[in-house]
Amino acid sequence: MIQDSSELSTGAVLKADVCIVGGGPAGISIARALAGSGKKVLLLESGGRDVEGASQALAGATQDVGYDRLSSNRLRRLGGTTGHWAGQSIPLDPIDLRARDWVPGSGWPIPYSELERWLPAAVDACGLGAEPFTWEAWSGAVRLPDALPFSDRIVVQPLRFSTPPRDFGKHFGAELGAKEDVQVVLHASVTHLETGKEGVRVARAHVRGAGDRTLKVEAKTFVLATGALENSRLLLLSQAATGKPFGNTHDLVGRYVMEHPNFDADRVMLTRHDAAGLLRKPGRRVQKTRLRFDLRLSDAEQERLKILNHSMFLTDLDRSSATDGAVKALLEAEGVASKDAALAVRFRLEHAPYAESRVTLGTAKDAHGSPQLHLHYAFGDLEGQTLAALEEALAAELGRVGLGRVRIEARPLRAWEKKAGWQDHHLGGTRMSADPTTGVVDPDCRVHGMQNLYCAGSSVFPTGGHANPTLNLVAMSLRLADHLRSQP
Amino acid sequence: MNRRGFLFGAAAALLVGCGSDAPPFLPPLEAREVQSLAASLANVPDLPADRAAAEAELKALLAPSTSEDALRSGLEAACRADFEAGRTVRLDGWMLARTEALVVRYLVG
Repeated sequence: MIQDSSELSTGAVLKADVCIVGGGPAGISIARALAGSGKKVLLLESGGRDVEGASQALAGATQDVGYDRLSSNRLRRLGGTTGHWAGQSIPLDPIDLRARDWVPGSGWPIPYSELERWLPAAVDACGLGAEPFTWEAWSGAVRLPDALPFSDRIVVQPLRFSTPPRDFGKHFGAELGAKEDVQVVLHASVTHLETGKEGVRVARAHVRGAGDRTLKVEAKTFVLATGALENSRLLLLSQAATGKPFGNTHDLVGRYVMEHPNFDADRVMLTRHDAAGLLRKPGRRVQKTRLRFDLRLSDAEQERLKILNHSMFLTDLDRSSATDGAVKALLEAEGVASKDAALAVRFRLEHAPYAESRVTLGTAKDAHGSPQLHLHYAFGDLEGQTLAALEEALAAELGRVGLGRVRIEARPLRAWEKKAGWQDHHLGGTRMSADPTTGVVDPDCRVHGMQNLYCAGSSVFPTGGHANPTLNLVAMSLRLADHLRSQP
Repeated sequence: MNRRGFLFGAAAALLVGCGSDAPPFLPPLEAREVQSLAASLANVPDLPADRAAAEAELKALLAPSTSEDALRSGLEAACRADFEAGRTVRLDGWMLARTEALVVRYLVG
């Protein structure tokens, strides 16, 4: 059943076994997975079926890092941000979950197999084909078996697109509406949670509905699925409203938030036109699948060079270099020049987890009188070192295999930060750890110190790799739903 | 004969001990095409200081051939071998094979 909060009386108390706060891909995935489990599910969505001004205004936020997009890149509507995602999908790499001694704070408390187990179902939910995410699975189909003769230092990864990008709200809305044991309430914004006297169980959620209705929800279990940044904010708001810690005993809530910064750098003069077609944004269609082949250094190379995970692909340049023609002439003399103009390399970097990267409660307030979130992203030397190592490695490898030449810009180690682009991927803030002194949620995604409160979505990611988060957060949400099914 | 053809012939004539019909050791390439990289040559260590020395090194690297295609292949192979062995240089930021820097040195003097 899907209803609007305007259909409810002010003061109404809704009851459920599981209350899911947030109707994005994480919340919808959990609701679908719990349907038929014998549990009564209540899903609260702050917005309506589409983006509306008043609901979207609740996503207002402040920041101090030149990231002036928080009020638009997160959508308050059923389906959440899948309402405008590009559909780009690729699983996290196994190295992303490993503890890497050169990446402080790395290491998930679960093995990769725990994520991998739920990827097929997540692939299906995201509207992707069943083909593996490996170069070998596609190299025959693209009919260029010798186009990428890289050494084992470089991995070619097919990034797939959900085509058209699956809007979870539009796609699964009717299905949810038909479930007898799932109640979806639109225009229902949770302002804070309240615990019992001991502070270890959430007793109820306080909700603002349409027309300033005040509602309450009582449930055995609460799941926050409001997006990485808002999950942190809701825990902080609940702490501020009640004085109870809500997982913040060790001042970790909101910390270690991450993005996927990208940087267009350098220029590449390719010697193979077919390689340009393969590696260049926006990718190509193979059979019915839209693909782009990204490059990354192998796990062994990342370990040897002590760098972060990353991906690289080619994109258009907006300016020319005085020496483009000279290099092209040299390559023509070698009989290997292609007709392509110089291209830029887009490096998408893993953002290392820094405690100083955090969500806090700001001074500005939303329409309900709740403090908006304030975002600060921090970087260290590791991102710049990764970028420099990648530039060297790519230039050497393209030259070695005769695929092209790379011009590497000279720049101070951290100069890239001022020109960084963003992927609108929000990660961390309620990071997962078996140790409550280093994480907000445990390996089951349950908030440390709380018996019936869970976080879903990319907020639980301790590290974020380079992979687009939606596919992975859906997989992790399905894993959480499986855990919840087994709970009394 | 156009400028490129003239330089091609001139390069051939530079081969010591060969007659006018001797094979060139470089495929057609004009000095002006690579001139923009010349300013960076000074920053490359261990590069011959003049054209004659560059010529000698190039001749040792590239076997004479009557086929332009063979010359191109030989040059490309030498460059790939440079990258394989880590013999790379930076000219205006471009990571190039040392052989390519030699070519630039030879052409611009």
